[in-house]
Amino acid sequence: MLSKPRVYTLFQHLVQHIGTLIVLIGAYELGDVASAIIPLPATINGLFILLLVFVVYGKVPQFLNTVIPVYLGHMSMFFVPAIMAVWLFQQAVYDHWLALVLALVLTTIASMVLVMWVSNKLLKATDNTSR
Amino acid sequence: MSLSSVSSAFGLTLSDISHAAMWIVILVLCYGFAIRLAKWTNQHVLAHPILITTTLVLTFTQLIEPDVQRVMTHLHPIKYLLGPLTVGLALPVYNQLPILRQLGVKVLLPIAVGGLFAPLSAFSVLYLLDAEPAWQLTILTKSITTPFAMDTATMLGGIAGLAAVFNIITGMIGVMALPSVNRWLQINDDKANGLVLGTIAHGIGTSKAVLLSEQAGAFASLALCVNGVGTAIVLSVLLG
Repeated sequence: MLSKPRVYTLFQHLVQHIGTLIVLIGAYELGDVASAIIPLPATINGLFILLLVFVVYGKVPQFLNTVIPVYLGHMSMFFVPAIMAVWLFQQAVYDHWLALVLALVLTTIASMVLVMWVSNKLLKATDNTSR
Repeated sequence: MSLSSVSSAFGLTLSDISHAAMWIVILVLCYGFAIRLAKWTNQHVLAHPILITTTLVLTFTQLIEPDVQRVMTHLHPIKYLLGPLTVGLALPVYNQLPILRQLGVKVLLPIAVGGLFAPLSAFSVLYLLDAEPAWQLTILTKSITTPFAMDTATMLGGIAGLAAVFNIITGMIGVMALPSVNRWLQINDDKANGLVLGTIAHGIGTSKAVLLSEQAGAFASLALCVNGVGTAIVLSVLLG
């Protein structure tokens, strides 16, 4: 049998998770409603609503601080249903493989070189001035 | 009130619910295995849980119910939850606000340069090679965090599933190419590495940056947040 404190922590965890889900789903649905006026995806609108709450409140409520990182850590699983759609595009991917390789590999590496060079220039300047 | 009357009130049959439950259990088990595998291989980029889980679930669909579209319908509750979880990114964004205030344009500029160059260059390649317009629009989202990429792609008239795939491949290339870029430019600085990984390789890059150092991780999260939100807004406003 579970000891009393353990039952208590389990219950506390459950309440924290339910609370977090209510906040996240609430902000997302509000963001969805806001999409009618602000032409941005529901997730971005929801994120700004929640961010605004944090900024106004001045800190992140304890239960959200505990639970959200756990959810974000397992976000990969929630992508899977959407990614499965790629199965339906197999033929198209075969047909365009060269264009895709060029567009994905070359441009990604080129962008990395560019960002690395610019960041190094700017951040090195910070180091010099701060010393 | 019986279970069947509850389910019919939502326009669902019991078979729908049991199929959904079965596929969600399969998905969770495959994911559980995938994170084990990632741990065993010391977080190797090719053993990324998204890649392994998707491959396993698709294998199961071929064995159990070859109609991928139907299985995707069964997994709809999981797909829905991605939205609210993405909203949870407000927490890391909030935590990065102090660095942003402190360094301002010095970090914003490299992120903006990468945030503009990466999608535009990829778009140009597909445009010049005459790929379908939906693909051209989809690839614009390749460097922003996957949930934003999927949402933004849908909004632009692209294909969400394809956006996720382009996105994940981009993230993996970013992680694999970093050592060569370091060597070629002879720059190996935690802040620059973090900004590069977060801006170009989004979430996959950020998880790599966290392994490099705490500072690289912080800069990568900042870049991921700023580029994700920024690109999503710019694309939605310009093309949505």
